[in-house]
Amino acid sequence: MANNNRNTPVPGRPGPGGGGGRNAAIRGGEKPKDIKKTLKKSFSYLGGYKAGLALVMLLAAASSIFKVIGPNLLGKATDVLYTAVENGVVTGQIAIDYTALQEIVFALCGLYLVSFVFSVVQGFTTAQISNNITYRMRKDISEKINRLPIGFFDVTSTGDVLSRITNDVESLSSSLRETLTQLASSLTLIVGTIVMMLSISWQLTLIAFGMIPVSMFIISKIIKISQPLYRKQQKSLGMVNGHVEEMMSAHIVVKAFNMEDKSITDFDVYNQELRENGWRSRVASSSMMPVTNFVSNLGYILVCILGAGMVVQKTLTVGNIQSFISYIRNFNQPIQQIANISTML
Amino acid sequence: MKHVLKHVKPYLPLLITSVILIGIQAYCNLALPDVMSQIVNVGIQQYSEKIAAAGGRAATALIAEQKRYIYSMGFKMLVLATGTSMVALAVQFCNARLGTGLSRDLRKTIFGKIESFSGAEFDQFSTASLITRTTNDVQQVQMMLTMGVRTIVFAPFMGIGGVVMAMRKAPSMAWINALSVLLVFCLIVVVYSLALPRFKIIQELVDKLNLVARESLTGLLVVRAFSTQKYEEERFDKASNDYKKTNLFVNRTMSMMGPTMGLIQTLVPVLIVWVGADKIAQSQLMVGDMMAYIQYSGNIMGAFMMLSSIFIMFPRAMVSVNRISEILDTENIITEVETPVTLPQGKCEITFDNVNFAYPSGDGDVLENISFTAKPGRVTAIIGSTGCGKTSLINLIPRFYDVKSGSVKINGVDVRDLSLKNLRDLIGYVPQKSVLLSGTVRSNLLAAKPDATEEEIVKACEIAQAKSFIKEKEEGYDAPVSQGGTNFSGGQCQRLAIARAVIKMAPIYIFDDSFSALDFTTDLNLRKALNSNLADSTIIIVGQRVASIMDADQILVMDEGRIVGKGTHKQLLESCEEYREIAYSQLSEEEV
Ligand SMILES: Nc1ncnc2c1ncn2[C@@H]1O[C@H](COP(=O)(O)OP(=O)(O)O)[C@@H](O)[C@H]1O
Ligand SMILES: [Mg+2]
Repeated sequence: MANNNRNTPVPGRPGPGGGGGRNAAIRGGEKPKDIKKTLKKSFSYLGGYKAGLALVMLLAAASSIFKVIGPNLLGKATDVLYTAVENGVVTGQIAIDYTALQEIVFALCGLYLVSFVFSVVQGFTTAQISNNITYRMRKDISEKINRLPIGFFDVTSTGDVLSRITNDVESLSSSLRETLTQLASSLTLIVGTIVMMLSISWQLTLIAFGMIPVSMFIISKIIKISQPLYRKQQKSLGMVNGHVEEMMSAHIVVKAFNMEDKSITDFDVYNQELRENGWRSRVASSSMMPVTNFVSNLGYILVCILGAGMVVQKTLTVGNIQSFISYIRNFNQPIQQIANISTML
Repeated sequence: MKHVLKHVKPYLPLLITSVILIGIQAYCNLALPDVMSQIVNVGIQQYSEKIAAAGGRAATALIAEQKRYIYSMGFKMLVLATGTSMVALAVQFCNARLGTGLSRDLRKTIFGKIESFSGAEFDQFSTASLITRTTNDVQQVQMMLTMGVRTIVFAPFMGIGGVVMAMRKAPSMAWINALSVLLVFCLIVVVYSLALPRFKIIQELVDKLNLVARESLTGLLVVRAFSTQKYEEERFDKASNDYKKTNLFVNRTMSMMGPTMGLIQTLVPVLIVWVGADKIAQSQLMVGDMMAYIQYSGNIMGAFMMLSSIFIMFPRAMVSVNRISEILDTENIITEVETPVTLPQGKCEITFDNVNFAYPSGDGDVLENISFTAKPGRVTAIIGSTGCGKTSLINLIPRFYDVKSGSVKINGVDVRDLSLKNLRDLIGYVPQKSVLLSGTVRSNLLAAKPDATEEEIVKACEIAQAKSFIKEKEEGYDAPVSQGGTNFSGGQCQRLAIARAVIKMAPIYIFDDSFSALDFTTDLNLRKALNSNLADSTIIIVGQRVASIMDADQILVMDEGRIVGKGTHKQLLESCEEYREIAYSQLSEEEV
């Protein structure tokens, strides 16, 4: 009877009562509500760097455009070689058009170098901006600390405030850096890739596109399964953290009343629950990768087969297949990224 | 590290399965470009040549055969792709079981260890850091294990497999692979050798930032009082500025890595085409093989990159591993003797014999030459200013700490010769901060005596003067208690903490400043109830108020870790200067 009494979650434990605020940081995984608030706030910090940010996005976009043209040119190089081989069957001598090949190779090197320069400049600028922003955030926090009512520090532990100054600002900075550039480059990459794919073959593009709804459908199904599991896992993580926290702060009482064994037995229950919910959640969310990978491979296979058929009918070149395979890989990257991110929310 | 490895052991079969599966997955991945090259080489090129050569009816048959060939290759690819994904799913399953199982076991070990800590070991870590170590750090190790195993195993399989496959296609172009790997390697070495030392500096700067922030936080009242905000802000600004500069360099160096890597990755295929052109001209290489070669070179470089990411992940996880090891390596200072003496519940006489005590973490003796005897059925009170060592003294009885020299004895038996459980069963302890556990009033009392009856619970609350306010609660004894008892007033918490001790009906009672939040009448009633109900117990009361201890059979007056007066209220008023001072400052002339 005593056991039942203590194991059932008691109103007030995970709730927002007294200790809740202070412990929230330790207890939980991220909470979407907080993320939204921080995002909004951090965008207000971006305001002062409009010109710089525009430049960064422009550079990222430009770099991506040059990168997108590459595979198409490389495919053309392959075609030069394949035509030589094909003609070779008739003439008995493989004669490669070296001037054409050289032109293509030079163009490729030029393209990639320009793209490289753009992305380096872009990286430097982004680092500068994000560093300035975090510096300003820290400054604001530091000033705010000296203005806040003393009472704030009674409910917020020093460690919590400290982690806001250092860790949180830091992770915000790196996520800003990444999202900004990724947004620009991913967008151009996707649009550019679609244009290039269409220019090679609308039929194959259609197939590649046909894979998107399939991917999305599967992703949404998996999310539907994985999100409740993830929430369950976070809940049991909260229970474990809560128990650890309480037993640590009540350490002296635990000792004085010989409650160690009981505390450990209780812990085992929460711990085991976390394990059970944990692995289920992990399996569900990590199944995203293999499954989307399969869909992506399916696209690859269809392009190979149908492409080969079209080559035989002379409506496509071997180089086109090669370029198209690269583009499909390009195209699937952002989709897989979305899939990976969405499981973590 | 050895602690973590020890915990991996039971999961070895799972780990091995995972490694094998990852190998299969890599094989399937590598086989795909090979099939593609066959489609191009045989399906397109060779059949087309044959068809061109044959002509007529033979050609139609060949065209049908070509179609079948391409489809059969497609089917082969489909099988491979399905295999890859199935195996990958199985790998994720193994890793999830492995990771969560390991972290469960680690958490259990750590938590058990912490629960075995006495005050002395507990003081070495802050509560917050103990919590992070049991939760976040374990999570970090789990991450490293699940992601790390996949990367550490998958990358070499892909890399080596890629090299083997590429060699089979065109051995004469192997130098291109060597070159690309070398370039990637150089890039990684250069970037890391530039950035890694700075990482350390950055960590130092973060610590500095932390320190400055912590100082201005903990000294907040002082800062406010003396209006030195401006100074504090400037100090913080300087630390923040230093950090910004170093961080900028590192961020820039790291931002070079992506584009440079991209450049290498894109130029290598160009090189392969350029070099491959000659081989094709000499009929040493087929176009399909060259296409496959390009894909393999990508795999090889990718594998190398993946491996290098381990070098970023690993140090981070090692920090967590070390923090966990710190706990597990802490040796318990308070230990039990192998053959403990057993003291039954019954009258207990406590004797302090020339006790000296110092905190392991602190400097200097906190208690010096403490000698006294607390008799059963009598009340011993301890009074003295804050920080004079009262709590330190009584904490030696339940062995939250051990004496430095001298001894604490119960009925002539040194407390160190008892088992901890036996010793603590003898004591009803009311801590200075009345730490209540989340649950209900009832669950808090049951924690002290799991087999307590309803009558015992009611009785304990009655003695502790807690019955009246519990009765007012709608749920009565099932009224919820939030963690730390924050939903009760200070005085109510103290009375509940007292009830929790009283329910044990222990031979020894220690009240550490436990009446401080009670009004005078409650205090008086409580002491009366204690006297009549715990008539045989040895009672030690630490107090600040003369009024609440003046009836004690023996009063110890403490000052800076020493006993400066010992006797009854009357005796001490005559003999002890310090006691007189305290008494006259608190009581009116008549009361004294
Ligand atoms: N855990 C500890 N580690 C180191 N020093 C401590 C610790 N607890 C108390 N002290 C020091 O020991 C002295 C006595 O403290 P304490 O016994 O709590 O005094 P009291 O209970 O009389 O107010 C104080 O100087 C205090 O700073
Ligand atoms: Mg004290």
